[in-house]
Amino acid sequence: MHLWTLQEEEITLRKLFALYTNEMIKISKKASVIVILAIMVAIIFGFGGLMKYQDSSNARNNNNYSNNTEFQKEDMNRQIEDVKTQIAEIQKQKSSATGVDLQNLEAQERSLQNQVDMFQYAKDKEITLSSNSFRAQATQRLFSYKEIVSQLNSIPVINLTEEQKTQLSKAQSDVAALQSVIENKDFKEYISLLNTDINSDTSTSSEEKKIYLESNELRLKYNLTGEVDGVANMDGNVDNSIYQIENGKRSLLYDLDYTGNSQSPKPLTPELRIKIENDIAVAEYKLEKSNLNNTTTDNMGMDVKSIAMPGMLSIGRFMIVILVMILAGGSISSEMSTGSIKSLIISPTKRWKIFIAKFLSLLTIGVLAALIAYIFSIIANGIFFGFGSGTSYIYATNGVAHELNFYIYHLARLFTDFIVVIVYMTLALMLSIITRNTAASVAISIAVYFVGNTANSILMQFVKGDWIKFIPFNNLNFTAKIFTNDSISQSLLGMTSGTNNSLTFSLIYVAILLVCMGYVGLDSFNRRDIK
Amino acid sequence: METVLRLSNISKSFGKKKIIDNISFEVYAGEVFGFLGPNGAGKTTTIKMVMGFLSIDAGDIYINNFNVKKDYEKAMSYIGGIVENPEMYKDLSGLTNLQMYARLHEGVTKERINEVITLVGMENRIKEKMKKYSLGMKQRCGLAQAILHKPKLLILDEPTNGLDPAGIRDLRDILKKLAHEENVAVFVSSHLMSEMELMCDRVAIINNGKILGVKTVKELLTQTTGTIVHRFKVKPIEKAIELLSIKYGALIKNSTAEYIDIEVEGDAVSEITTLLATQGVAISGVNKIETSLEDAFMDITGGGNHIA
Repeated sequence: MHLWTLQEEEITLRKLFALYTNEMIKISKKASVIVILAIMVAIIFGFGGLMKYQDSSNARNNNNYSNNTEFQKEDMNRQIEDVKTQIAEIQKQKSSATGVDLQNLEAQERSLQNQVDMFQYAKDKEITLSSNSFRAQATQRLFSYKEIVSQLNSIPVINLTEEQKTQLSKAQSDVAALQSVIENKDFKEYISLLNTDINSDTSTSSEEKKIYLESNELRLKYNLTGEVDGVANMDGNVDNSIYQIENGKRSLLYDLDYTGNSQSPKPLTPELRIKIENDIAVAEYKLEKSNLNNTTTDNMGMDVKSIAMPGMLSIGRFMIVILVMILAGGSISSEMSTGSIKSLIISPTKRWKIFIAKFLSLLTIGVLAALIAYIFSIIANGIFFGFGSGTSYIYATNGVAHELNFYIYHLARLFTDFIVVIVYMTLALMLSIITRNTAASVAISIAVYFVGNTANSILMQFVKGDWIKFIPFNNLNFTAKIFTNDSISQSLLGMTSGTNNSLTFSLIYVAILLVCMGYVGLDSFNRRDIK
Repeated sequence: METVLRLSNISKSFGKKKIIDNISFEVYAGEVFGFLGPNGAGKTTTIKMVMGFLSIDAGDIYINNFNVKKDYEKAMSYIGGIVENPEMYKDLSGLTNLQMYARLHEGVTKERINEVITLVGMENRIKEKMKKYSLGMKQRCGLAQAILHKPKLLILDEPTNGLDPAGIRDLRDILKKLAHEENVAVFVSSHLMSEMELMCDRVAIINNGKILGVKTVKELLTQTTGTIVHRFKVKPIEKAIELLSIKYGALIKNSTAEYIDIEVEGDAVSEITTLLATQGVAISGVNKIETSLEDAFMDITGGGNHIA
């Protein structure tokens, strides 16, 4: 008895394999497959080339901007002139003012004069105030202290309170210290000045102080906002990383969420706590990595290099969805309309086997197309940006950071996205059976693919009910749920809708959706009379 | 005799319209069984039910004693056939189509594929794409596909469609050979009665979804006409009838302004011609009228093409 069932299963499997082989032969002879794949490869290369062009023109513009010191000096002069006219204005008003008004105007004049001094000082020392360099920061601080000094000096010494006296002497010593920092370009000294400030602040707890001190230590360690060859080292990503670590640590310390934008932080949930711990690990790892690379990235414009690969792959995915929808939409309806399904059925084959064989063959074509997209994206990326240029994906589990190789990461992303391909493929296959019309099923599924997401995001604007999480489009964005640390790719895909649904919810939802569509299709196929 | 196909009390309706009304018949191994009826009589509908393309409203169909409704795969494993047109994959060659079909059956060898290609006479063009084939060549390919796995029951729906006379003769020979030498039950539907007469051993006649009779071809022919009729084209007709009424009056089957049909044969024919000639009646022609299956068919169905 046992042997008998084994034999039955073996026959079923052999039959399925034969059907599958036949389906693959049929698909491989279709011209549309070759055409769509060729278009896909062409667009991938086209996009890569476009990104390369964008990248080189950005680099040109950057060079022009940062090298143009004349332009910067002019800018500075203009600002000085602006402030000077304001001062002249105030002096005019002063002649007719008395009492409190006069005092206010004098205070304003002092502050403006202080600004003129600052611009002049920066100009002399060749410091770009708009940059993030520590000397620019120090200059700003220096003149804020100078303002305090000049303000307090305007008051007769006899009238000064004890408090004001200590303030004055501290400001004066700070001025001296900052001046020496700027003169000597001493980043280390600057950091130690910042640390002194933190330590002397009585309003913060010692734990919080420790967090700030650690941040400064990181800044010093990675020479962040320090200078390399006189040019400010200002990697925005790295800078962000330090703030992320700082906010994360504060959140963990006070059990309140400081990582969000909200002014009134919410208490941490256990999940959020884990997330923040992981985020800190990732940020620290990124810092260390950027130090190893020792790159001085300038963040002018978008970083097109990092967009190229995910961009090419999402074009690939788009074309794959179109391809499988066209194939799936015609797979059963065309055989029904030409009548070739008859010889399949009397071969004899149960219809569920035909259905499964069709599904598997379409899946195979999808996977092959995805691999083609992947390989050509790598080639295009390599040709345009160099084969070792990709940045790897960094993630953390249990507070320990891990690194995923660039190539493996993008392959993983592509196949996570493949869930979407399967959903649309099943939709087209189901429609192919229900409508018995190739054109209708292809058109409907493509329309759903194109219009669905847009319609959904419009709907999201107006409807705030709980039921919207059951809309399929809100559950298809798996890459955003799994690869949470890749903000570039996510913003590129422009699909942030539905991210509130948890990964588990979406997975179960999509599994149920697929089973339902498959069941409806198969059931309809089984009942269908073949005319 | 081994019953390969048995239909018992089959009915089928499309909407309110009853297409097949309680039909029953059996097809045996080793015979060519004709399924005759005018267009729309229900031939294709019946065949589609046998092959499981259409659901069966009432009754049961057995193929080699397996019920089509319950043991579909087992029942179907004994069948080969073409329904309506031989539909294969147009973008693929005839050979690839056959290989694909062979893959779906256990134990169809490469030799068997070559054997059927030779049998249907497609050796020279089997590697061309299907879309280049004429209808006749498609029919041949379809037949090759249908007999590839040596079915016990071969079902062909209007197989002579698109075939030239030579092709029809070849097909007839192949089918007879399969039935009589390889003991296959061949089930052929057609509205071409003359064709069936030469091809079939037994026929079932269907009209308006009902079986009007199942007979051997011999039975059908003798049932409607026990005797042979000759047609005499004579002038003047009245005089001839007058002369003949004495001796042959009871045998005159039919008379028009141009001819008289008389149920006579052999010597009686020369007697009549001599009689008429000597009495001054001009004879322009005498032919023997063959009674065909077509006449039998017309007799049974009431002579009409009742489009059902």
